Amino acid sequence: MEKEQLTRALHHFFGYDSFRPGQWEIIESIYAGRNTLAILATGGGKSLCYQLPSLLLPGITLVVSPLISLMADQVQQLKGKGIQPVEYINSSLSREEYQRKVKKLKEGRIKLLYLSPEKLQQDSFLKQLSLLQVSLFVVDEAHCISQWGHDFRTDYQRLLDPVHKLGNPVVLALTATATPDVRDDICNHLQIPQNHIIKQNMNRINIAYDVVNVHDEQDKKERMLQFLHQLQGPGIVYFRSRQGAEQANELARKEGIGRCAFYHGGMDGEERLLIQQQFLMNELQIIFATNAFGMGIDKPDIRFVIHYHLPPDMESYIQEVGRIGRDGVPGYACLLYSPDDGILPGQLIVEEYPQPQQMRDFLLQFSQLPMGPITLSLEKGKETWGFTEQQLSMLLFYLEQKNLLKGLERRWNGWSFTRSSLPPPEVDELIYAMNKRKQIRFRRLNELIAWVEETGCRRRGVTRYFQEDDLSYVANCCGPCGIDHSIYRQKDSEDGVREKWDWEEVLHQLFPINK
Amino acid sequence: MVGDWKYYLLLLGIDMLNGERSLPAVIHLLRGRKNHQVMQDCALFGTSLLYGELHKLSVHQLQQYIMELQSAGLIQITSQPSVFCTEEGKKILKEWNGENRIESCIKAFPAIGHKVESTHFWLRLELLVQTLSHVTQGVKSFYPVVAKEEIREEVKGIFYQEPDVQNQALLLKQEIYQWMLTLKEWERKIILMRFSGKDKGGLTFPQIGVHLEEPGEWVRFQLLRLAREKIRSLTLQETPILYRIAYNNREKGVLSQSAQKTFYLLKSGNGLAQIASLRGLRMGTVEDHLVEISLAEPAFDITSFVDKEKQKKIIEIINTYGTRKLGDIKRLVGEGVTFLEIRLVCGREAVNRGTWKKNS
Repeated sequence: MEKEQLTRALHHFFGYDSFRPGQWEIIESIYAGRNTLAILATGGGKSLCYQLPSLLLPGITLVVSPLISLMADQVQQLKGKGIQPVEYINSSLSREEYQRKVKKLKEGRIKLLYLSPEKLQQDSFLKQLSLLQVSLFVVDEAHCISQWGHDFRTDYQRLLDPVHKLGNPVVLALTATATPDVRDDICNHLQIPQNHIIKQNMNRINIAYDVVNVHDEQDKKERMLQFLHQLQGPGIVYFRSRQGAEQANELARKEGIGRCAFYHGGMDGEERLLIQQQFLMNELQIIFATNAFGMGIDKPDIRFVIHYHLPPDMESYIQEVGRIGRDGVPGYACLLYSPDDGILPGQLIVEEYPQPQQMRDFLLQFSQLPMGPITLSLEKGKETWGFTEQQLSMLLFYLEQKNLLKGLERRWNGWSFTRSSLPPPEVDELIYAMNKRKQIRFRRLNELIAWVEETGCRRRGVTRYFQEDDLSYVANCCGPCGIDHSIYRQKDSEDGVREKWDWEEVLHQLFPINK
Repeated sequence: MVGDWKYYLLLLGIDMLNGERSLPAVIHLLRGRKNHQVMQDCALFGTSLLYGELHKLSVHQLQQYIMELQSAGLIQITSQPSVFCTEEGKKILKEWNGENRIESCIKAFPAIGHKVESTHFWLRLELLVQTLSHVTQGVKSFYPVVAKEEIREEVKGIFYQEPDVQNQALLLKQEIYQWMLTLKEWERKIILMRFSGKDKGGLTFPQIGVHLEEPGEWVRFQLLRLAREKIRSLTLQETPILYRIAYNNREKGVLSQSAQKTFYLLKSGNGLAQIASLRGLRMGTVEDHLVEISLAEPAFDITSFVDKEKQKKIIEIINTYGTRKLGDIKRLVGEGVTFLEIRLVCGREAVNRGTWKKNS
């Protein structure tokens, strides 16, 4: 297809007049039938690279995404733009919803389908899909494939088999952040030749990086409040705990900082939608959030991101601050850091993995399982051993790799598999394997801490991490290079006089119509 | 524990079940298990508002919180196994009830169906207001504030029923206006602050709570109550749009779809066994439907399933022994009375009383 034609389609469906850097190269590569790995910075317009082709290619486009909430958001956004043949299918659906969507799928009323990776491990579902013509197979957040990546998902390691079963459609792997080792992993797994990598510059020229050292928690709170009083919004303050986000909101409110709210995954869906909406409508200026907030939100004018807690690694950090200034206007990224701050992310890493005693109990029961087919539910994993879904999935993945179980398949609420006749592994072996994973994670955390504690140019640190060399910037570079804070200060007075409550006026604002 | 609604709702639930149910019944209630026993209990003990309120917590977590209530001496778990409030617990609960003031909300929901109905009514209303506010002001795309797809589909259906969008919006505005006139100022705030429109984002429950100086949980319960009270007063003539939102061409009523079918067959003169075979259902399922119908349809006569004599006997036992444990009643009433008959009479008795256990 010609560039001109696609540009017309771009305008028709999305209202843009031209492609952003990198987008056209990626789309061109898809149309040339090449398996492609695309590395585009957060906010670089990644999703458009498959959304546009999906509407024009003859068959269906499948998008594997690890983030359930993100899928719903993306689908919603597209439908909001009037693009209707899009859906998502994941394990959060009720049986009725699932069936309704499968029916739609069979009737050919879906052009773009978002899927969670475990869905592709369900044979019955895969059979449904294989009846369709699949034109494009997209792996979003492709870094999840890599054991070296910051967000490894076991289900992501099993993607190639479905690709074959679906008649080898063109594969497009997308990620915002990938160090060279992760890149290699993705290419190997998905059979993408090294010369089919399209990479956008990671350097975000309009973001200034800053780290502010504080003495303790109290000091940190005060600095945060100070920033919130001074900085021009809209902005996001990130926390690693739900409670942290809620407490900061409470504190800010008491300090007279208006138009702020908290947001985290523990809130009801409806409440989360309202907060997102208020933020998009600029009714809110500040969101205190966990990392559940931001993905899938298309807000170009975010002016600052403050990290109250340390993220788990550089990739996550860059992804979160990458939400700043997608409109190109200079913005400010600040990480508040006290000497003990490495402890919390370390704890969180440890909690992600099963504990030795849990693994011991698990193996004991595993060795007593019969040799036939077995189903294991999430509920059982939780009630019996206290495993999270992620932990159980990790253990099963490990056992599968060691050939201790066969035919591992994802079910509605768990897994099914057959135990092989091999004796189960020693628990030490399992502990060793998990420790190795933890070590990788700790190494990445330490790399971020090293960057935080470094005294040199922060932009140089970031580009070095991703093995790049572009150091250009607009406005300000980073703390060590010197920041002119005046450009980030509030320009309009944030707290306008609160309007008087008049219910008739509010109703009229909703419906400004009269007879 | 003070000010933490999960403890409050647990303690309230335990007290309302009055020592007549076991621990799992409390957990099923608050986790919102879809089960006829749980649903019937809600009607019997008036606990419908609590149904599913703690669905985000696991069984394990709920057990832990219940243990904490026990260690604090607020409840006692006997080996029977049942669970009840201690004197201390009742005292504390009275204080909490005084602070939380949701009695009117509890009373507003005789059966689970009413809660579901009110919740859905509100979501449809909220989404239709948002839709009409945008469309009448020339904006066709927006982020819907309701995530549930079934609700979105329903609202789409309602939206397209009236081709003149401006007129539909005007009617809805007038109906809401009239509704607001009947409410107190803080009640109007809850409803209007929650609405989203083209130039107005809706507020979350804790945000509304800040304006009213009340907890978000309280705000949500009050909203549900207001929705319920509104539904009860709707008529097709006076409030056509709201009526449509509430009933959306469905038969007025709160029966599950499957029970509706059973009800239809019953009305056409089929017996239970016949219905079971016609619909390919287990007998137990059809019996569950029958109980559901008896709870939701006050006009439904149960005499053809339990004769007057037996009804009298069962009610006597309930009154004399003050128990609603089906097993106990069955033992006391003697041979010849089935569980189904007891369930029907217990349910009907609760409906007729129109009241349920006081929670103080």
